[in-house]
Amino acid sequence: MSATTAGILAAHRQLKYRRRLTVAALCLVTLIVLAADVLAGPAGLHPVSVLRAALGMGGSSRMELIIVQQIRLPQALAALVVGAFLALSGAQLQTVFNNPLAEGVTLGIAPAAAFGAAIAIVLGISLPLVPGGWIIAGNAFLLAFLATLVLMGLASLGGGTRTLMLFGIGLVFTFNALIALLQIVASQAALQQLTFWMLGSLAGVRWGILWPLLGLAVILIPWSLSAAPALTALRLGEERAISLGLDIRRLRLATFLRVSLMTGAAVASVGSIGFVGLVGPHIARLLVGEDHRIFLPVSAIAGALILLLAQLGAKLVLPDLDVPTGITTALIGLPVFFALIITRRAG
Amino acid sequence: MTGRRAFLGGLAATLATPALAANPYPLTVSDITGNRVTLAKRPQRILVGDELLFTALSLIDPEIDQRIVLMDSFMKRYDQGLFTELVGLYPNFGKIPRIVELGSASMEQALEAQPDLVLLSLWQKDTTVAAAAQFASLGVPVAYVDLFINPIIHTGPSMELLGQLLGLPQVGLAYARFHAAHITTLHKAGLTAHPETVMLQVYPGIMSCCWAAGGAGFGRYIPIAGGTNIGANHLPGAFGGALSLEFVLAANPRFYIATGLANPHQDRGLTIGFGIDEATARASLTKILASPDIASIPAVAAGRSFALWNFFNGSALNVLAMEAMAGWFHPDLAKRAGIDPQASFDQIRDTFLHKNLTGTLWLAENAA
Repeated sequence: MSATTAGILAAHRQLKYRRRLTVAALCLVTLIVLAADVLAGPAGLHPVSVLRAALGMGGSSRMELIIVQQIRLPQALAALVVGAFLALSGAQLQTVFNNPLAEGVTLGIAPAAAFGAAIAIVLGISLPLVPGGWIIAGNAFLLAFLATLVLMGLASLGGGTRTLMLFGIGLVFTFNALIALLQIVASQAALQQLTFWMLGSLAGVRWGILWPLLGLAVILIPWSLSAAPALTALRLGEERAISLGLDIRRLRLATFLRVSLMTGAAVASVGSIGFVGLVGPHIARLLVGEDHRIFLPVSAIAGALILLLAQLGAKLVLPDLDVPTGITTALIGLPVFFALIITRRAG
Repeated sequence: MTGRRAFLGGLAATLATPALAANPYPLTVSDITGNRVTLAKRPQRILVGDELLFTALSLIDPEIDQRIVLMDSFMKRYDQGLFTELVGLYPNFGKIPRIVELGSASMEQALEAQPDLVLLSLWQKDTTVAAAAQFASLGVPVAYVDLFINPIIHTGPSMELLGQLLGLPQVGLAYARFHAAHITTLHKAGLTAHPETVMLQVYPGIMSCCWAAGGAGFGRYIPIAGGTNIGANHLPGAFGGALSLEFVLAANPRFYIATGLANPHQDRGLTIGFGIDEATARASLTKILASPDIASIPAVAAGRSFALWNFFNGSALNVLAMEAMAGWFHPDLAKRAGIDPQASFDQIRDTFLHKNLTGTLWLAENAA
């Protein structure tokens, strides 16, 4: 073995070690914030009481059990899953479109979902096959899926990434205009509900919403991670990926399907939360680079961390009010993002 | 009491006949914002910018529907029950042309109606400044009244003002005195000595948990009825705001009140108000209280849950909501003071309304 090869191997080992350390540190911080999120709240419960209620150890009052088991735990876990879904969607879309601005919001998938919710909230119209209690979520999910189908259709016709991106932006404007039209005729109550929904809020999440999310997470996260080698190859450029034997059309369609399911589920559960899908992957890229085997999981963790921090921040600053998480996401996520860019540049 | 009621009824009926009242025009009065309003003659082409004011106007002039040329459609859009009842009781009510709301988009229609008086609510002031200025520049008098922002203080003067503007000052004054007398009874009942904590949730089932009353409307009624709004220090704005469910649970309010409107065909929310029978209102309240978030509130679990028609906000009938709440929060004190919202409503109907307006406006989950 030559000295150069040994040097390269040593550097690679060091890189792997550094990446592992980064992932471990990120996981640890996420777990700490998750715990803090469950511990914090306007009721001012003692940490021991929270732990006892969370684990069902007995001796808890009815109020403690409801607050911890029915409110704090599902909301914290939902932040974890939704944050991961949004960032993982953004990461895959950015790769497939080869565009750092691609994500559910900029491609029209989230605005489509918001329009679905708006027609349910303002007009009370549900799309076929959607049961009563799920009208808003169902409409959001179906419209997100339809928007993705349109994008997929265009992709299968051979539209380039730039055309697709432009088409996605066109969808954003169309759905936003339709939502604005509905806002004009909305009642005061519907308008307030719609505003809350469009800002995104985890406050309404209970186990009934969380279970389907967790079920989807078990399928969609491993499915996304399994596409990592192919996506890494695509990142090298379409031609090189094709020369490596990759079926790009199939990869793109499968990615769209995963993304529509994740974005649709996230938006249907907690409303429209922007920023995470865009910035989560960028934070991951700054931390671990482009190798999707590590980039995708780190994106998911970064997304989860942003949403957890946003929820915790809202609780600490305005504990008594139901502050839509979408508001605090950007307020808390942006400084973290900028700090990371500046420290990386300085480094 | 009966004699006084009969006297007031007779007085109002007599004074509601324009021919018997002295002609007060031309007339200059101050509206609730302090602006001088001058009317050259008795207004016969009134533009009502807040449809909810119709009830207040009808308490003064039983034939007010004949004098309105244009109205916004706030009530028509949000409270089908009251709208349908009024269509049945006032022959011209349903025929009055409607705009969505008074603003730049509807200005052409508003000017075309050639009103000789424009009536608006104070809560609309910010959105109607331009329209009001345009009317003023054309010499059309514009008057603001207030039954929402500061209803305890402003209901009396607003009703007096409406009476003066409509040419029936004695009826307006009689209602203002009726209102003041009932407020005084509430004050003297000693309800505020030991206030009870209250969570008043606006539109449960329609808006997510827990949109609570703010600094206006119900937020003003609760203290006078001997309650403390748990959102009071957190939601100073007129229209309230969203409290987190955990905060509501930790605050552990002694009473829970839900509000709703009379839309019998809605599949969500509380159905209560004019045109709604008690069984329908009770069934919808039971459904609301059974939803997991609301059922987790201790006051609900303990059966201390109540319901109110949401448009008591901005209504001249507001004293009924205060009296109903007084009876719920402090039943003994309210009884001793003779506070009885049903009797008050009967009195309003017989003395001022002269129409058989019926419905369920307040409801206790566990009727005594």
